[in-house]
Amino acid sequence: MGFGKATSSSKAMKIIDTEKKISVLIVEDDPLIQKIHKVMMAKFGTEVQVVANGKEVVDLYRSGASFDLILMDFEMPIMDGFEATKELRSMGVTSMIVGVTSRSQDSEIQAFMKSGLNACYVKPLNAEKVTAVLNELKNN
Amino acid sequence: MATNREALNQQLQQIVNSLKEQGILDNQFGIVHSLKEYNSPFFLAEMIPMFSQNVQTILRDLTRTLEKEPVNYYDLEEYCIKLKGCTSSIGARRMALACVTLRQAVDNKNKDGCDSALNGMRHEYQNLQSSLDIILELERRIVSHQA
Repeated sequence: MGFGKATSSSKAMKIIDTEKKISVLIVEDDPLIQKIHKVMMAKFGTEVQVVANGKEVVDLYRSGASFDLILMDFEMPIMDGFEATKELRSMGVTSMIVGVTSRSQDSEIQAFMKSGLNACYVKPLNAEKVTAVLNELKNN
Repeated sequence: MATNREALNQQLQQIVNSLKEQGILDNQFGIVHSLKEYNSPFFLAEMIPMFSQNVQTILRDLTRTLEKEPVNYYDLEEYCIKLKGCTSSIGARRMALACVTLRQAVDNKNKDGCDSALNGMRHEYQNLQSSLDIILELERRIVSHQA
């Protein structure tokens, strides 16, 4: 299941150099899922970094880091995915942010989307969903 | 040596196929298994114990939360979501479905329903764990043959 909408921030998305590897930040607190998602994204030739909660991704961006794609879990300690996405967008971050959540009710997905996500997928992450995200990224 | 490894791989695949036919695993397990090509031969052999540890911890937390009065349905929901995430990510289909049943009981604030769903989940885990133990043993033997 995937949900996507164009946000005003996505219209200002930066041009990605197609020669460079796509940089991906996985924001996920479960070490098992971190590892699965990391290897899955690496399989697609992306450069992957992992952080364990929303505050870490906000701190990374505040320190000057930037990623082409952020895969954002919802439930995390310290700062969840909703708050982290809202904060990143309020900072002017235009990176593609895709929610990857265990919550599957439409109302929950729509609520998460309102934080400023470009799209949202229900776990598990698989090749089909990754391909869709990377194609969306390359087309923008 | 190659023949032994092939035989072990076939045996592993037969077990996985059987578990998929029973609905205990789904295609996601095969996807996770295939990721060892992109990481290390030990990938699945590392993931299975991590998964088991995760599940045991969350089941313990769910049990403790249900035993307390009054029941904290918010915490129950959080643990349920967490368990659904890790079970679906490794392809443990029946366990992920059991999480949906538990979630419904939690949403309805139905303690008896939660108790029943949690028992069902423990049963599914016991079924799955015995098969995962066999898969893990086979996988370790396959990896040692490759080495």
